[in-house]
Amino acid sequence: MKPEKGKKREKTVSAQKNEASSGSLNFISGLFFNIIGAAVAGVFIYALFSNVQGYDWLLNTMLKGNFETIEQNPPDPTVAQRYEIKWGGRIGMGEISYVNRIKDQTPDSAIIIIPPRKMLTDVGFKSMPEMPWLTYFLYPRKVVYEDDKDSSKLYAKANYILALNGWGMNKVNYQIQKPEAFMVLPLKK
Amino acid sequence: MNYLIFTLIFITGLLIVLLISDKFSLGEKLGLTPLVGLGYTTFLMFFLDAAGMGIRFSNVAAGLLATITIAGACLAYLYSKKLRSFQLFPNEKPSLAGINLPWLVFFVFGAYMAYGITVKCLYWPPAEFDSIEGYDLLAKAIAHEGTIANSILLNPAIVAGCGPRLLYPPLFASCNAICYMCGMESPKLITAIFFLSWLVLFYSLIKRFVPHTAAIVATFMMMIAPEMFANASFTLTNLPTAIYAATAVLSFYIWYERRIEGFFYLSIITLLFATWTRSDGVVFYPAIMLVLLYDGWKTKTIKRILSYGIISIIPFVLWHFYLTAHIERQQNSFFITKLFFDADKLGQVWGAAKTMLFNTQLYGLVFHFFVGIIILNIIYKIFLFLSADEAKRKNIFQADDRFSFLVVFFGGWALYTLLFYQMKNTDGSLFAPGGWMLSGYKRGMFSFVPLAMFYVVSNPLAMWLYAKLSSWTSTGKS
Repeated sequence: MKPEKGKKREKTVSAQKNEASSGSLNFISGLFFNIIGAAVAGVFIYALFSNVQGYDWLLNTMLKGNFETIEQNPPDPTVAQRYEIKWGGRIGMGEISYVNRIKDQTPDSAIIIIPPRKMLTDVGFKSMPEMPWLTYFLYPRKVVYEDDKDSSKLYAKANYILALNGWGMNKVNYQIQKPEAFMVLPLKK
Repeated sequence: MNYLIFTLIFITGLLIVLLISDKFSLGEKLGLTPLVGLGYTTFLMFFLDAAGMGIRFSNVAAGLLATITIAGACLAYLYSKKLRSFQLFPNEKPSLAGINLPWLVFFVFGAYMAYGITVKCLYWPPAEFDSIEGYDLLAKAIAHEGTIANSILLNPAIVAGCGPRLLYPPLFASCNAICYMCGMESPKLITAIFFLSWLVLFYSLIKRFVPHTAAIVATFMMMIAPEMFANASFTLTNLPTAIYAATAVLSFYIWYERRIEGFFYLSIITLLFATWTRSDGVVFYPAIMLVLLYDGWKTKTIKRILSYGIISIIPFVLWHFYLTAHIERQQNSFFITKLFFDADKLGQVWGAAKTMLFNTQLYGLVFHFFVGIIILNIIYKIFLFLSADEAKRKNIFQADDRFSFLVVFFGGWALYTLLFYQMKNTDGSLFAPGGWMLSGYKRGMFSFVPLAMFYVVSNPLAMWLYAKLSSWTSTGKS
């Protein structure tokens, strides 16, 4: 019995030694394959973003450009200012800044007469002649174009007017002291 | 107020998910909770409106509270009767086994990309033409006037000016309206919620089939498909539709292959949400029904065909009737209403579609991989067939060959492409830059990007490879 026990113990010790050595071997091979795998993954991602047109654009143009724009502008701009940055290049610029002025100078309940579409186009407004676009930015205010004077029921209910390059100033029932090229005026005082 | 309504939406979503099944994994629950919660809330808003109560913050909050109470009571009953098991981590405990360095590389870079696009999303207010002259305009009016049939939708001049984008089903507009009702100035939180939830959900769904590393590679490649990635910062309906439609197809396939009951109902619900976002989500419906009919014929049951067939088509019909009842149609249909065959037009549609699918600027390498993998699998199967003896040849085509998945994929894609073939091209706008094909078609293909990536990592050849790798590493360990 004794020698058998000794044999068992011998076996157990050698098995433990084997397990330990194979365990460390597994760890080393596992680590090796992980490092190789990570390197392959890194090279794959690098190759994607530097060689394939679409991926390159979204990382190096879209995301980087966006982070730069955010950094260049004042922190926490208002939503109106963000539109001005996006479409006008900076705060206070672009067609949208004129729309923001209309919004700032009228109450939510305003019904605003907008000059004829051709006049808006002629002075360089590209989107303002489109009723849904203008409505989106001025909502809940309502807009009615001078072109729709005869067909729209809103026209008779209008209480504000956008005076542009002198157009519309004769529709208000009071004298305008300092006329400007772009003015939002109440129809009655 | 913002936190309250979104907390209620998420609790509602979670309870509905728990009611559907207790077999969802933690990741699936996390991903589904916001998506189901938002989808359900838009139906609630629609019915509040239809019942004449109005879509007001207080009404929506009360409706969500009532839903939470009812769903909570139902769950409590199911738990008490042991019809549902309450497990935070069903089937499996969360484990980091299978997470390795390559996984970590994809995860870290993917997280950076997701962070970057979410920052972009939340910084800029909606600026997309379709949103400004469409669903977000409607969203503002829903929030302010408390009804879907509001001064915007009932104004023929605005409807005519906006075109069909204003008449899409109301899921996305209603989600945006929730933000406006809470006093937010921009609804971009909704896009961010959709996108981030989807990443978690997609990973969790495909994790049912493939190892962690394959799942993260597929999620990464799906996420960075350029046009789709850019849409993760836009206020457009295409990404939410793709998310719901792809979830519907993947859930259906999980049910079909694994027979986990909850996924069948999840598929119905998410397809319902997809068609409640955009009507073109309906293209998957006939393809799924085809597989269901085959399954019904095999199992001699009609219950599933009927339930799927009737329920998932409800939003499509509901919205059609709603528009007919409320909107004085100003626009002529842009579809040719009779069937026809025009080889030239079909060739043009196919040519435009092919050019787009393999344009790396739009979908990166997703469809290159997809087509390549299909070809490799055909070669693999032919090789197996030729090298096997007579007796084994029968077993070469197996249930998990993803054949039914490919039927749904190609069936949906063929129908979707044929929709464009069926469109009028009298003014030449079908193939013009910015026209239906070059603008609409490419965004509708988003639904197929996740499905293609699912197949790329879970096809029979890939599964054989995983099995070989697994046996090789386990042999090395012993």
